[in-house]
Amino acid sequence: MTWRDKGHGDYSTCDMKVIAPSSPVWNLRLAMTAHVRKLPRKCTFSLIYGQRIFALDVNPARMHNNQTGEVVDVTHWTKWPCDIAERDNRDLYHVQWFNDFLRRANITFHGIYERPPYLPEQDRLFD
Amino acid sequence: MSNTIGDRILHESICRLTRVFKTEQGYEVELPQVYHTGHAVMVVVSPSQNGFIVHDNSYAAMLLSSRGVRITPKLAESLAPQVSAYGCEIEDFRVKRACVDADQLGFVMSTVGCASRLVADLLLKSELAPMRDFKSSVISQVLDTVGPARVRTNEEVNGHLGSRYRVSAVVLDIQQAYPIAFIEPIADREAIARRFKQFYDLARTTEFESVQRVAVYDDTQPISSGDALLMGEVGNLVRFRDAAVRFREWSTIQ
Repeated sequence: MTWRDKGHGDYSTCDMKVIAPSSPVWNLRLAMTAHVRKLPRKCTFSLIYGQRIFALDVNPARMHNNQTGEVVDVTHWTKWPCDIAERDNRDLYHVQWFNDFLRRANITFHGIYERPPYLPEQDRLFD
Repeated sequence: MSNTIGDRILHESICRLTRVFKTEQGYEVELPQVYHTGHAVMVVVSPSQNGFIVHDNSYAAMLLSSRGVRITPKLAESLAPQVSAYGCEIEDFRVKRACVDADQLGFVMSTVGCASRLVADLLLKSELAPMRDFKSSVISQVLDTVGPARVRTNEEVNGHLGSRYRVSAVVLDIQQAYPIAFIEPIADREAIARRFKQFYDLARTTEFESVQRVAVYDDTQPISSGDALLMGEVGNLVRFRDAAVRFREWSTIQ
């Protein structure tokens, strides 16, 4: 699990391959992003198979459904085709969101968790 | 509810979409604009030596990354002229613009928001990520054709000057005593340079002189004839659709 920020200093990304034991040739990936400056901390978790098929947006900007105008202002989950958001009002640490995402996506993680490289000023204000 | 509209109602309606938050970075402003994903466009206004800097905090780029789009310097280069058309610039994928006069802030925030939306709209033009993993497909093909007992995956080997390589698939002889072929996938053009170096080095390694070097490329991602010729100098380049036939040769090697 490696966080990278090369070429985009405001946020970090972590990309991991996901293997489906029954079909190892499927190109499944877990893509994570974490803003390293913004408070409250903003991050995303996406399971990608061609496109986003399961996702969690933590502390996103106000989100509108462009077709219906419905507004979701809080952390939310989406499943493919990702046009209906399921609200989640909890306030969790990144590792807790990570574990919950894995649990809901039925993914077993064999690595060692690393938290996003938040900048010191963000850390100081949050912790 | 009345359906009568007037200038006041319209003005208030659009103003309700705008919110301002004081943050550690300055002021974060939610604009009456949305990305195609539905997220509101937000910009940050920070004081600077000569006035203010207005930027999108890289939210558009983060949106691309969260959908699996690879953020590269080349991508930033291609976006620069379009972002510049809005009077903005892009630096480390942050869309920004300086503002000297506070009276101009509204206009500057709007242009930064437009340029940020332009970056996010790349997602509408980009193709879906491949549904199958090319490396896994090649390895599966080798395993199916030659049999798992004679294939070692991600095997580490040393080049003639000490560089180490992880070969995607090594095919062993029937006694499983020594390698007879190294197989590497070439999923896209970016892989050419890396594979060329690896094969060039291994070709000069005495221990592997007689080991065949086979690069398998993805038929759906054609490579240029120049690149194909280059790979041909250090190994054998095979299309994925022909790979099974090529691998079958080894199933009879004694």
